[in-house]
Amino acid sequence: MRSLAAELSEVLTPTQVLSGAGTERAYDCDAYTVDKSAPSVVVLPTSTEEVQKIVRFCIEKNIPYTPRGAGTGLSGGAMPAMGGVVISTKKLTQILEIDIENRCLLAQSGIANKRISDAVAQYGLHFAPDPSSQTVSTLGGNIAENSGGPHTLKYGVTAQHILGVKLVHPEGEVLDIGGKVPGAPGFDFHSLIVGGEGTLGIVTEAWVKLTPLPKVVKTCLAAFTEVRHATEAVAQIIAAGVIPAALEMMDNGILHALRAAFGLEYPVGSKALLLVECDGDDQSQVEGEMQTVDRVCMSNAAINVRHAADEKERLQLWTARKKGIGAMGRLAPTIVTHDGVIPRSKLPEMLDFVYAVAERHKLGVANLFHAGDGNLHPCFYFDDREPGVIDRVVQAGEEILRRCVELGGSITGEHGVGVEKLDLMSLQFSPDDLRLQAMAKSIFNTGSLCNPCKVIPNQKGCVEHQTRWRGAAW
Amino acid sequence: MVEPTSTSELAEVIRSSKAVRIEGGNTKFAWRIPSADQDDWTEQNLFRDREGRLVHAAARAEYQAIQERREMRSAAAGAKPQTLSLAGLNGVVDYSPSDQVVTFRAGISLAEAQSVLQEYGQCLPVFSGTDTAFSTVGGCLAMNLPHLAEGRAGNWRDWVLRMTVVLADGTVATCGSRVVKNVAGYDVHKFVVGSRGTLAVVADATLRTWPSASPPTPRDIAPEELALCNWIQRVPRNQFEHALTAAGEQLVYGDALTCTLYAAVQGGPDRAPFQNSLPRYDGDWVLRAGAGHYNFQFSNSSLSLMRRAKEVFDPVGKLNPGEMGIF
Repeated sequence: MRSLAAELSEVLTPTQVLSGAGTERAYDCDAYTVDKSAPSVVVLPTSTEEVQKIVRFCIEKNIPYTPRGAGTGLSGGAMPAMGGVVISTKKLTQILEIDIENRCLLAQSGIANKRISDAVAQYGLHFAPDPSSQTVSTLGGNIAENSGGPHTLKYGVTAQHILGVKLVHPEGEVLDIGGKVPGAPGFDFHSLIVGGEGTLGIVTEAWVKLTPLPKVVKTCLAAFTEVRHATEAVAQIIAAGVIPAALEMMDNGILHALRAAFGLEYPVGSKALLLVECDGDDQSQVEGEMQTVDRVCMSNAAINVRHAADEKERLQLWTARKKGIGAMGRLAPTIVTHDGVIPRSKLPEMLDFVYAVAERHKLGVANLFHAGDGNLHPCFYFDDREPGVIDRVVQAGEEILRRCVELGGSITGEHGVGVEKLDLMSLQFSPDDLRLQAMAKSIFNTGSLCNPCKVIPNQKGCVEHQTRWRGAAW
Repeated sequence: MVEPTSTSELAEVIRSSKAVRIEGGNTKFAWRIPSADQDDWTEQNLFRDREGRLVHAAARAEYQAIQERREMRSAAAGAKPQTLSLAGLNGVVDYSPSDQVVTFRAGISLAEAQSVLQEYGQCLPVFSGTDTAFSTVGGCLAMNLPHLAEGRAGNWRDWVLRMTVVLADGTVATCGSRVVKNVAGYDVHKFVVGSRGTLAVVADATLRTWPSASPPTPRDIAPEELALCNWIQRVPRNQFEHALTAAGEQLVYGDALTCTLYAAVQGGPDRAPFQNSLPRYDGDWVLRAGAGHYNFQFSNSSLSLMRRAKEVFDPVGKLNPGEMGIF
């Protein structure tokens, strides 16, 4: 019998098919490295037609397949849970059409997020979603995970910036959904496909909306001696009617790491920083917003509010946010970061809870997150060689996500469910709620071949571990 | 007509009915596709022209033709839709001003919803004409009609965070979450927005609010003028200027941010509005009022997927039969 790789080499060309031990190791997980499952074969299609051929081949042979972009996903969405074929979008990187007049762009789904913005920067436009991974993470991956980023507070998540997609349906048909003019009458299938975690078919091309770059951008970094002062300032900034472009918070653990890694210094006594960015086209309006931010920070006992005088200083202020996670490596050999959401008015009590949980489990914790959205990313740092520590990390993570749901929030704000949080879905949703989600999935996918064992728990034939080392690990 | 006052009553009505025609405040009647059992195709529900004259004669004839076809079909199916009013599902479920998140029951009027929010200096950023006293939050979610603040503040689909729906078999289910950012599961709550009550019935919905007491309002139009509009067309940006010029006197408002024309299209030879059209452009779409089954049309590429979705959510065709014109 011929091998799967040999058969697929005939469907595509031999150079587009990878297999063997090295391939299996390289593709057995994404950036969620806790759960692994190796593919038999990885294929590298260059067009929608080739993706369609592969999908049809897999249907005919009853082989599971899983799409994969850059593999930066944090919940295991690109892990081939049932083995089979990984369909990589690595060679689907073309920009097919730039339509400046209509402020949109058509690209293949494997293009890196940032390349889209770079291609249109000269026209004063950009692709607004800006996940931290944007230099490598792909358009297709952003669509699958409905990615966020620091600027989603004002500009919205990926869903608001996708106008249309070309989708290879799990039954092997190619569907064009949406187009250049958004909001057409009829059912809005984008709502399901964007954020569908690659379980509703494979997006091969997308029309994205291009947004004018703001003419005025003002950024400040406020330092506080107490975390609670900073979290209370967050709620008050929003309550004052200001919607900043970004509103990010870093606590003492992050400051400690930044000092250790890069020698960055912040005002003496700082225990929390708020990075606030306001933008727009009207100078006086943006300045007015910034004055409000300044006033709110000062009235919440900020010890220092530093405003960026120019672009160079603005980038400097952003360093704390951009390099924070990388710097964590200095604190301990292992880091696990979580992703939960709470109503932002509950931020002060939630952070107190996070610190209490870490202390009870004898773990280090640092927080760096999208405060304006109430999207927490507590990072536990520890030495995984210490006996029993992993159980404590799992336990602590679970307690935090439970608390998020109790406070009316969500088990994930931007990393997705994937395989990581399958067993937590029942915390947030009743069996009837989950049935509704399964109905939505079945509009597209009734089989068990297209990206199996993701999003909806207890799918037929899927093995689910009950205790996971939750959180993305570095 | 039945008018449930709680989600459980609503679920029971839907579970035990063969077919329902759902209504909120009935203000968007003319934008809907008339259903088989409807005999109140009356003057006040019809299109008025720019001078305020009623234009109904031909529309009525058109409606009767549709009605006859529908009656034959529904008689064959043995199901005559019962009118289900959501006006009794009134009130606020919860409101957290500091989070800018509110949960309304579907039947609350837009005017009441706005007054609740305005007390805290917030609002829903919708500018939608004169009918806010009657139009309901549930109806707005079901229709998701374009509105004049959309370019700056988005539409109902952008604001909805969570929704409780009743499915065709009477199951009550919730999706989404009461926070502004959430990717747990499929966004069914957004998918339901704009589906005109054909997939599931909205019982309550959590929305994000706008941080000022009044919506961003265009300066140069009065709500009464907007009420004349019977044609909403969104065109590619590079065709917008042309479309504005071509609409001429029929134009009520042109929204440059979203490239949307709001127009009062004059009637044709029989004074029926659907006999005339403004110029169409490649990739554009149109919503009409008072034009019966010409009110909207879908591109062929989405038809099969729409039918598939209907089959999954409402296999017996219980919810708003005929509403989408294709099932």
